[in-house]
Order: sequence, then structure tokens, then C-alpha cells
Amino acid sequence: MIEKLDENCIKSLVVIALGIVSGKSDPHELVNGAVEYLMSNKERYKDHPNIKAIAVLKMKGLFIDGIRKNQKFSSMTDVEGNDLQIVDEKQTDISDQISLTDETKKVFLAIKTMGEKCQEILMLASEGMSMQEMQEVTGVKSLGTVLSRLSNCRKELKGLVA
Amino acid sequence: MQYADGTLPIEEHEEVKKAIEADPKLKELYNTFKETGDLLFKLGNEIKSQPLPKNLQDKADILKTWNKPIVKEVGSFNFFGLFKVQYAGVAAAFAMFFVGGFYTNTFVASLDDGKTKTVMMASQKIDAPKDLKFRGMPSADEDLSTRVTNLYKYFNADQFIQDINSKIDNLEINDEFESFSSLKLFSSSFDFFSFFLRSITRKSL
Repeated sequence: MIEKLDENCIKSLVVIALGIVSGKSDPHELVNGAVEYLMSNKERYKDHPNIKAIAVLKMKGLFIDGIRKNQKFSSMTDVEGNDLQIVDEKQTDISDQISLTDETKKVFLAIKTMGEKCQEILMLASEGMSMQEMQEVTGVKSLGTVLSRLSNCRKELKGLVA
Repeated sequence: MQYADGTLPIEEHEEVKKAIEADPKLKELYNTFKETGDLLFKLGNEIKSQPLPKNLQDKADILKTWNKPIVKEVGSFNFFGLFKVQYAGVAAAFAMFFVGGFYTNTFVASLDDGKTKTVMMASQKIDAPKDLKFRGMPSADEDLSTRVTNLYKYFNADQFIQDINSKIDNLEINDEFESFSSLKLFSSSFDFFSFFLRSITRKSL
């Protein structure tokens, strides 16, 4: 249902986008792109039961597109033949742009050091998604895989924040 | 993990609870999930409490207008928004006063040719002109048979009786019924309406 796409939903998408971008690009840009897409395809998705899942999948698509674009520049080398790191300064650390308490900032920074799959699933969990929704969004075939992945990532997170 | 998150089905609670209490390793695992669950919940809430950037906030505002429920405004009547109703009411009162003045059977006359500026009210009965013809009124020279013939040009009596009888047969005392299309057409005709009422009364008795 397109009416579920409201301010709260956009804020939830920001949380999820933080798990997708892994500090490599601006999460707000991803959310903006996904919301724009849904707004321009209003008629197509007006009766879709899980509009948030569509938005998440779109954000993933946009993120992959962004990576592909950047890969064109990653082959650039300096005079000594070393790869040039092209980093947009605006996107260096999103955690600086968000005012978090010390405790949650520590958790967020710990998550950022983890693998991409853990980052994604932990941010989905922090958004409050159910296992079924996580399965739909991550594209994992079985619910058991989602459970075990989340369980392992949470154990790892506990080790990092301890 | 589901037990720690509170998402485990209630019928499995007791079993899992006993297992956790019995095994210290499971208890440690439970504590880990409980702690990380709380941390993730706090993190999610803090991120959600951040204000959105302007471009996203603008989109959220647009979506708010999309999702606004359509509520029919039940306000005072306003004729195409041309004027305020209270002004219209005052204007209508003036109009009724003046128009009503022309239809009265009294008129004002000056009895002294305006010398003393005194006026007196006189009363005079005014008869309606005999040749005044109102639309819809039968002309005086039209006899009853012509009127009846004219009426039956537009009225199928058999059809009407058949329609009304089918309704009356199914009617009980204190029943409510919707208006009939045929009755609607001839509701102005007293004869048919009274016939209808008589039929209902007979049935009720």
C-alpha cells in the first residue's frame, strides 16, 4: 500500500540504508532515489502489500549502480602506479552527521567494522523488521539462514562492544 | 534469540525458559541476545529521531498530502463561494419585505396632495385579473372528460395497479417501504395517492 510510504517509513529507510551503504556513499541519497522511484511509479505499487521491501530493493539497486559508476574511476593510478582512492569528503563518515549518544555511537561504529551481510542484517534488525521481512528484503531463501546469520552477527557485535 | 526478542510463539515460551534456566551456556547466549537486542533497538530509535534532510522532508510532506483522507466538509452552504451566507440571508429578508409589500391588499395614499406631507394607509381589495393564466392550471372551458383523457395520456393505469398490488401484497403492518417510481410520477395527483392510502389501510385492517 502506497499510503504506508510516509515520514516514518522514510526514517526507517534511512536506518536500513545505513546498513546498505557501509559508509561508502550517502544513505540519504539512496533513500531519496528510492522514494522518488516509488512516487513516480505510484500507480504500479499502490496496492503492493510491502512497499518498504520494494524501497529497500530499489536502494540496493541504486547502491550497486553507484559502485559500478565508481569502479570506472578506481582503475585510475597515480604517477607511481598506485591505485587512486576516490573518496567524496561529504560521505566519509555518516556517523558524524548523526547525533547519537556515546553508547549507540559505539554500537554503530562497531557495526560499520563488520562484514556487509552483518551490517545489512543488523540494521534491518535495528529498524525492527520481522524475520520474514528480513528474508524478503535480503533475498535469502530460507528463514533458518536469516535466523542463523542474525544470531552469528549479534554474537559478533556483542564481542565488539564488550 | 526469538525468546530474547519476544518474537517466539507463546506456546514455546515455557519450554525455552526451562532450557535456559537449566543450561548456563544457553543463559549466557540469552543474555547476549537480550543485550544486543536492546542496543539495536536504541540505535534504530536514535537514527529515526534525527530530522530528515530537506529534500527528503519535502517528499515526506508531499506524501502527507497524498495520504490525507478525503473528508467531506459539512459547513454552511455557500453558493459557489460567491457570497457569505449571512449577507445572503439579509438580502433575502429585504427581498421578502419589498416583494411582500407589492402583494398586500393595502396601499399608501396621500390624502392632501402632499401639502402637509401626511400620508394615510388605505385598504382596497384587489381582485386577480380574470384573464390571468397560470401555467399548469386547467382552463375554464376544459371539461372533466378532457382532463381525464389528458391525464391518461401519461398514465398507464393497468401497469400502476399491477405494480402497486405486487407491493401491497407483500406489505405487513408497520412495514417501511421505498418510494415507487410510478407513485413518484403521480404523487401530486391526490386521487391516486388517496387510493394508495386506502389500499394500505384496507390491508392493515
